[in-house]
Amino acid sequence: MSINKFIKNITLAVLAGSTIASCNKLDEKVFSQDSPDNFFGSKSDAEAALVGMYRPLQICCGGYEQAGTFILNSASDEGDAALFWGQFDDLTYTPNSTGEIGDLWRATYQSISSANFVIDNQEKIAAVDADFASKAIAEAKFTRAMNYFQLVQMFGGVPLRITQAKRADDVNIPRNTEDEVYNQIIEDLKAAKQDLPESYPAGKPTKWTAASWLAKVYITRKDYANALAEANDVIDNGPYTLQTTFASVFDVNNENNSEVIFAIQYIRKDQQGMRMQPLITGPNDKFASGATGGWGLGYVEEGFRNKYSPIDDRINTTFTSPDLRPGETNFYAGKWRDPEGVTADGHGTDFIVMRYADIVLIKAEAENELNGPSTNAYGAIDIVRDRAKLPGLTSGLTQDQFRDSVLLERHLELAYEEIRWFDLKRTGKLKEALEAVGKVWNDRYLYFPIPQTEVDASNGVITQNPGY
Amino acid sequence: MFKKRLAQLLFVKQFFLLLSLVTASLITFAQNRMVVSGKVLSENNTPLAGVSIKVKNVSGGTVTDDQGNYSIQVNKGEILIFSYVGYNPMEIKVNNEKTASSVQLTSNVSALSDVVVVGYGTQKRKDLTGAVTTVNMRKAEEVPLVSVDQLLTGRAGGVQINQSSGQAAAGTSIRIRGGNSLNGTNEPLFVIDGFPIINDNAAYAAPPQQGVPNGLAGNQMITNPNGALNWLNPADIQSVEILKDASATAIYGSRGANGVIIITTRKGKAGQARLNFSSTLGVSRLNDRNMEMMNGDEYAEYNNLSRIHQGLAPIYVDTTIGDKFFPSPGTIGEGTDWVKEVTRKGITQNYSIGFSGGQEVVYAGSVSYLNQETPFLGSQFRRANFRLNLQTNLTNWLSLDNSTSYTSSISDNAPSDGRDIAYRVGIFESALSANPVEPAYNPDGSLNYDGEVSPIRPGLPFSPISLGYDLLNKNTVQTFLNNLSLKAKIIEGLNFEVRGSVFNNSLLNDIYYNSKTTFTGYNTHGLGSKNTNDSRSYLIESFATYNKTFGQNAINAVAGYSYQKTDYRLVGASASNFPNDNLKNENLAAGGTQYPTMTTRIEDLLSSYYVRLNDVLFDKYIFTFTARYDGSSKFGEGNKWAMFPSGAISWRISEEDFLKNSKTISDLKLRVSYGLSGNQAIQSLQSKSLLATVNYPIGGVLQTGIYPSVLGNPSLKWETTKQFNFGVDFGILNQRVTGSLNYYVKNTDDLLQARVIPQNSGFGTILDNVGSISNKGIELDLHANVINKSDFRWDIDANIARNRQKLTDIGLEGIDTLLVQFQPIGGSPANIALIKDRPVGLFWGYQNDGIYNTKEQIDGSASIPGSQPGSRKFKDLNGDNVINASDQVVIGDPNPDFVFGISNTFGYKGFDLTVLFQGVVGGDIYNLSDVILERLGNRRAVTLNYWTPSNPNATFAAPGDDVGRDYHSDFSVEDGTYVKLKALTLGYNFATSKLKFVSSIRLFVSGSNLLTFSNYGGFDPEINSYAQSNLFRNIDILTIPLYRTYTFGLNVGF
Repeated sequence: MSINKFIKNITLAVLAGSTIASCNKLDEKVFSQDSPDNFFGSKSDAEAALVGMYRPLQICCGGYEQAGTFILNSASDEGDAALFWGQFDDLTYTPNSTGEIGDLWRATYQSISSANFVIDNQEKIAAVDADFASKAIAEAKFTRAMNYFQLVQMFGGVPLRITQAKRADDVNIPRNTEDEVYNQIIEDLKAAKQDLPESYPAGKPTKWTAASWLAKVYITRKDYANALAEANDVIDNGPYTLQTTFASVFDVNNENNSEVIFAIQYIRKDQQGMRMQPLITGPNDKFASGATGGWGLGYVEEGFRNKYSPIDDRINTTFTSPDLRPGETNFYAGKWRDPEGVTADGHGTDFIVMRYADIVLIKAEAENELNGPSTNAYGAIDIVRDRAKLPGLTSGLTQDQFRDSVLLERHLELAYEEIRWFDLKRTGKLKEALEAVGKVWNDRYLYFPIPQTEVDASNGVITQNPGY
Repeated sequence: MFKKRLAQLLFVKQFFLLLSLVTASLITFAQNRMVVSGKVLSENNTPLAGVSIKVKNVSGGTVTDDQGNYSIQVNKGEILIFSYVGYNPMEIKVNNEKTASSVQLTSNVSALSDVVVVGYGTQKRKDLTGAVTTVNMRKAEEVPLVSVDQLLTGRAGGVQINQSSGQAAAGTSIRIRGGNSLNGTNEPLFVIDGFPIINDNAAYAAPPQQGVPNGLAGNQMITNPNGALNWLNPADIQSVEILKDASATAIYGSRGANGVIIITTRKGKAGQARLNFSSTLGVSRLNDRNMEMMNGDEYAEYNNLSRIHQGLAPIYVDTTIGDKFFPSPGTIGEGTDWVKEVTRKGITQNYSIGFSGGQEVVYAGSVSYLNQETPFLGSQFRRANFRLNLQTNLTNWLSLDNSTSYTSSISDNAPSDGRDIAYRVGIFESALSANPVEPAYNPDGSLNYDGEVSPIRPGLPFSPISLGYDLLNKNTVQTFLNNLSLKAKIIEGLNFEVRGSVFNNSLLNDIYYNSKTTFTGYNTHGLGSKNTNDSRSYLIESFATYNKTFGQNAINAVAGYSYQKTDYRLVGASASNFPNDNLKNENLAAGGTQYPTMTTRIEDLLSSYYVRLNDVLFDKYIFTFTARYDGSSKFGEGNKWAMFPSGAISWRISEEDFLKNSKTISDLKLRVSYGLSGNQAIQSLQSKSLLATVNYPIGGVLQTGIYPSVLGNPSLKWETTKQFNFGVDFGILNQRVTGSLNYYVKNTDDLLQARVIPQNSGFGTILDNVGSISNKGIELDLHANVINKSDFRWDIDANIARNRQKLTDIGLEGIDTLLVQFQPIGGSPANIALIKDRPVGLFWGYQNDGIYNTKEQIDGSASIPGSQPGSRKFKDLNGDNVINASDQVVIGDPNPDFVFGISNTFGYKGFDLTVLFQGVVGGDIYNLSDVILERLGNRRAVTLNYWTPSNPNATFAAPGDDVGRDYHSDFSVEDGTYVKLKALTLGYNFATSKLKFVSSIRLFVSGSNLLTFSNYGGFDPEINSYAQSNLFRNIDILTIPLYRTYTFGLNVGF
């Protein structure tokens, strides 16, 4: 072989070799996003996954944000709403008007999916830190239960997911029964109560948060004995106390105070502020104090203001102004005010999902149901009335009268906290209350419609609620 | 013994060889030997370099130099053959030395011997089995253009090109034989000197920024990003081939389904150095308006009536509110013509130097500079190009070919349109809608932005002019492409080639909203951002080609391997709340509000094996088989690899005995092909489950949270297009008339679609392969040399195509109609419909039924609540006495019936004239101008035909009556038929034979978008506001329109 030929052959071999050297592995590398399979290798991974459960409930527009505000306040006898949201006050919402209902459905299930993501990885977390793992799983179970509790009350038996959807064929499951959902909620809350610590940084649930939810779930299920037991446990052994004034409960500078059991956290920074509650909070010029408010797109149901005794201290906080402003025909809600007003970052005010006064009133209610209007029952309701600068409840009420009194007290105490609709539903008073504000009843109002998009996407596997 | 015998034999053989050579030369000397010399010119009298000149039946020959000169030794009576790619060969019998002193060759695009560039090689046109259109670059280059894709408009049948807007550096959308995909790209693959690039504007857009609230995210404004091929200087291009059917495109496998456009840049030719200088100067202005707005008087009157209608006091009644005077109608006159205020005469300058030559190393290259101003204030595109192509033989069997190109460009643009982001408008729509009563400038010459200019934002600072000057929206792009190839000749006919390429496209996007003069900036106290998008692509390729003729069997084969890796790195940062506007976005840290920084990195891999076999039997029967086996990282495990085969047969009937001697039919070929090609142009990471980050405060401190954000689909695979093509190529009258007729059927299955899944899964969608689309069509390309006299020539190139698209399967069980929403502006979303067995992108809405005249009409029919006389009336199609969503139907179809182009070229002595008409027949346009303007402020002058009790037959609702304004209807649907005089060029080539140093001089004047014939009521029927979108076609949301340009140019060759 000549030297030329040799060089030629070598060169050709090198050229051909460059081809073979190329790689046929086509694994898709993921650089800037984590993959679920590579997660939970450290404690901070698990902590981040827990934080991820709360964000859907906070961010516009699902969860307790716009959706909860407009649906639950307007569809009860507390609120009215402007613009498109009038449909919730008029009760003309349909499965297709899914704006808020769809947002709430989506956000709540996103939070559940995130909770399941933590629970599914229990072993991996335990491998890192077993003690931390039991707390983390308890926190996830609490969040899952809280979300299902919201869903089951609003929609009835919903699809119950206790593990995360991981594959395309996991995505479509039918609805479960209400009982199945409630059983899971109670099981999760019990586990959470057992494993959660007594105290945690603000924004995270504790043992007592779980116990409070148990009290609420039991009373919703009319299991008064358990409701009373949990309420008493919280009251006797928990860390909560009533604030001395009603106004300080909602003071943006006094957040996560002694009365707060669980609150969705908002800070006025990097758009982590509350965006949608300010929509119903009265605007600047509606505040008696000149405090800065929100947009005023929701307002107070006609006549609600007059349910308060003139000396009730809660009037000043619950409404933007105790009396109608000149030229105004509506009262505006005032609880979620932030004196700094609305900016790009949103309101700083937290949204309190449950507070101690609620538990105290649950005690009064459960006590009355079990033992009639006992001293304990009077004692509980009067703690709340006393803080409102009201005299004690008229003595000598019958059990029925006392029951009505507690419901009214809850109405006045917890207005615009997305509670009234659930109270009315669980006590069987929804029809009566809506008719009292001039609405025509239909049985379908006991449940909200499943978003039509969900029914469609499930190809009929998920059935619509009756009447829609 | 044997060796000795052999040596003897060899000696004998060599002796006879020598003897015969000597004899031959003696005989030659005996004849009339002479040297013939001359010059070869094109029909435009430009010298042709590299023309091959041979003596018939004698081996060897010569080529012309760069001045077109040649000389060759020849004997009297012999025949010289002049041949050159793209020109008709010419034979001249030699009588004396002067016989061929000036030879003029005539061009013929469809010359059968032309070499056509196909995937991984070249083929003779006569041996093609696929549908391949060659764009005549000699005609195209006479029109000054900014980008290659614009050059293809109207030039090839079945290729529809839409420029997305009149923004500087705006991209185009190209559809070859209709769209195949709903969510993947429908843009063809570009192959530039062997390097594949997908013309996907999205890849060149700044990344969307998460965490920045809607209405603040500056970069979302770039709705019409830079064109993906803006970096390529059209003057560098040697040839453009459009591959349409499966036989031609299957070699590009998973990227071939949308067609392939192969671009080859100029290569050098050995010889004397050649220099070409060209300079053009253009003036651009907005086309004549057929869309007049209300003037000052009309607007004030209309505004007063609107306010009265709404129960408000009229303001234009000579009153002073605050310190502002509101004159009454009749005292204002014309007022301000805001469109005039935001437009200008845009000047375009382009300088280019091209050079070529070389001996051992041949080179060709160019340096060019372009500065293009659009007619809109503050909008311009500047580009500097550099290219150098080198070729050399390293040894007698190894050659090297390297091409390098580097482009740096800057495009500044005013925003094009509002799109779906609240409180933001484009410069054009804001000028149209601005209050004509307000002056553009204050008496002291400063900008009037005091708050009454924009009727929807009274009291807030705004001026359309500030969108041009005070809103920074700049893309700085650098593009580098280097292709290096080594070609080895192994044995005769067998070559082996290795190529390595690097492509780098790096984009920096600067945004700043001035805090005083722009609304968004005022709201946020200045909003600035910087976003980068850096993509790098590496290609390694090696393939062997084999060409061999065995008797009557000519084989051409290619087999190879390629590996491409593309890396995208995106970074975005933005801030607002700046102390002042001095530094714009150059110091984001100064912003009081910081938005989350976004970083993304994505890597795509594509690995492929391919093979093509072309076999020509008896010069009549041609068989082609191709296959590509592609693997992509984007797809799920087990579905990463797929095979894309194709086969084709063609029959050259004109070579059969019964036609061979036909005087009329000079060429007739039938082609049939069938094959599979794919579409893998989906976003990366779709088969993977992913986590995303969020923030949430715990204990008062923001914490990073993570949640499962994407449910991956590991079974994700390619969209596959099966295409059948039947074609006839013909030539008559000795190829003076040539053409191709193609009929095709394309069926695309496994459409990649985001399937909506129940949200109780925690996710909203999953990407899946569901649905099918079919496209059928017919296309005709014709070339005719009508007149071919020595001093007058007339050529016609024409094409016409028809495509029928059908969504044969939406892919969602039980759903035959799927609505997809888009939001023209503000709060009124409109829909397009996907309907089974109908084309994609149908407009969906109500049927307009005029205006209510009486209360009785309203009470007697279904009406929108709140209707009164003067309100809009819509048809209650289902008769349920309510006007609601179930009364909506298909109200328009954007898909045209025919698309055509006709180019006429005349040559008379030194003059040449090219006239290109291009048009679309049928196809509706969803003209949302009125819908948008009604919300923004000033309206079209035709709106003055509004309802009053005394004008009951009005077209428009009573002023101020906004009942039903959100009900999109066929009122907005118009016929999109148009014919455009797209380009006209008149040039003159000076005779240069007496000049020493100059070989050619050409002067030309050219115009683009000169005339439009159309009944369309919007600004320009060539509209495509949603650029490359597959679903939203022919929608006019007042995107910046195309404009007219006049260009004067000079080309000098040395």
